[in-house]
Amino acid sequence: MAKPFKVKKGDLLARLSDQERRVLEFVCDELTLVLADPTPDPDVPEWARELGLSGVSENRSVPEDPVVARLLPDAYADPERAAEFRRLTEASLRATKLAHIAVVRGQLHQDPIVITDHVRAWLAFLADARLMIGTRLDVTEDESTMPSDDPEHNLYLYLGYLQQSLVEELMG
Amino acid sequence: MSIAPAELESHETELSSDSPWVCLVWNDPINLMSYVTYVFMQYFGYSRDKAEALMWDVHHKGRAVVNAGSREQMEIDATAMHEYGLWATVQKDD
Repeated sequence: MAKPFKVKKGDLLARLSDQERRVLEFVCDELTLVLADPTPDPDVPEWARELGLSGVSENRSVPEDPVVARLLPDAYADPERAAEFRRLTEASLRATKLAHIAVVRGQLHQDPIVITDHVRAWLAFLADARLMIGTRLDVTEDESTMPSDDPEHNLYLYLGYLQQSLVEELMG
Repeated sequence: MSIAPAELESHETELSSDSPWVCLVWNDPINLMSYVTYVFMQYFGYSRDKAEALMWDVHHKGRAVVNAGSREQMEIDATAMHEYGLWATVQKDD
């Protein structure tokens, strides 16, 4: 199987089949839905939100969905400090992650897919996609306990294969 | 790849001296070891050896101090780790 990520003439290329592109597009959309802020601040206008100027969030608690809680984790063990930090930073972390996903999604329609200037977006997307699916599957470090015929688990393994390939190509 | 425990110890001492705040990265079963190593190299500018030692520290001990400094800088670092999908926290260095 050809390497999905490959440096060619100084550019880093993602070499993905039509089917792979469709799968990744699906994952992008799912991740976007998961990360979409359920309670956007009505005082922040749409144009500002699109720029990532999401203001200060009123929502101070850890997200109830374990997937969202893993994607937007507490930055302090102390609950009070964690809540304060979340209030100040969660909206912009969401916006950054959504922007990375949008970059990747946009690139899935290009041919060839040149990711040289978008490596961080691809890395973040692949990591977040694996966190989303891995958290849902409740994966442990012992992968032998996972069912091998489950499509969601196969998708998880495929994303891991992409992440590994990208990191290997970057580390050389 | 194996790292002598003595080397791991010296890491922590070196990082935490004179610095009141630290950034910790926590182990999780999802992120690949190679990815965690790459993030430490890329974001902190650590050598491959140092990044791998920290990665093994995270893996075996459940967490590792990845940087030390001002509270503000540790919050920037933790947020950057969250952007990469790693779970990091900030705390006062005891």
